[in-house]
Amino acid sequence: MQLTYLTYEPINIVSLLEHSHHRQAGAIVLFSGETRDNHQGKDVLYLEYFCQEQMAQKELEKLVAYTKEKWHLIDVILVHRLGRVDIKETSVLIITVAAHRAEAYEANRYLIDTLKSEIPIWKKEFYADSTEQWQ
Amino acid sequence: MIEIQVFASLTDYYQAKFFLQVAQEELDDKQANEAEKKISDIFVELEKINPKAKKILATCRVALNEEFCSLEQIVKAGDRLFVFPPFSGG
Repeated sequence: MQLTYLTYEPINIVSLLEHSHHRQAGAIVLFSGETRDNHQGKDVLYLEYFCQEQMAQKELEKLVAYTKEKWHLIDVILVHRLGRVDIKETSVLIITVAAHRAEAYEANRYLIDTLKSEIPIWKKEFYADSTEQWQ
Repeated sequence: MIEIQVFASLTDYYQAKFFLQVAQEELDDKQANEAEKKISDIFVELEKINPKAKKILATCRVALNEEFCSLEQIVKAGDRLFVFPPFSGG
């Protein structure tokens, strides 16, 4: 079950993890990128995510396909939130499923690093002092 | 005309979506070639529209008709140009 999508709804980590188990998998690595309550000394209230939806979806699918082939993954789940994401909520979930842990870890790290630099998604931080800042 | 869409921090400097003239439609082929514009030429016009955006524009990537491309790409009437500030997903 390969899942790559953008959503305005909260991400159900437990449900997606339950869908990741596989008879041939010896390792599942799960990364959850979350909203923390501070950034560079400022109190963060929440984040908002924006994207160019057609390109973000298309480029995420290309990235997942490339990564899956390069690291011989059994499965990948990659979900990114859009809109408001509150403190302690998941903004991005990446699950990599592989026969062995080395591939699962490396592929997962590659996916989040590449997503951050190559996919047309942006976040804006909203602070307790009523200011806001594009990141 | 080409359609331009800007995103994230650039929306503080431009409308999210607007149109720019790229070439005179009545030009013959030779004149039209000379009048061809690259995306980098469009960026010069964007700087003129709002000089305060110059610093951000220098960091931007672009996509033409939903495909990433270089600033050397030539634009044609009817194209849709996305101007992307550095991404910050995740």
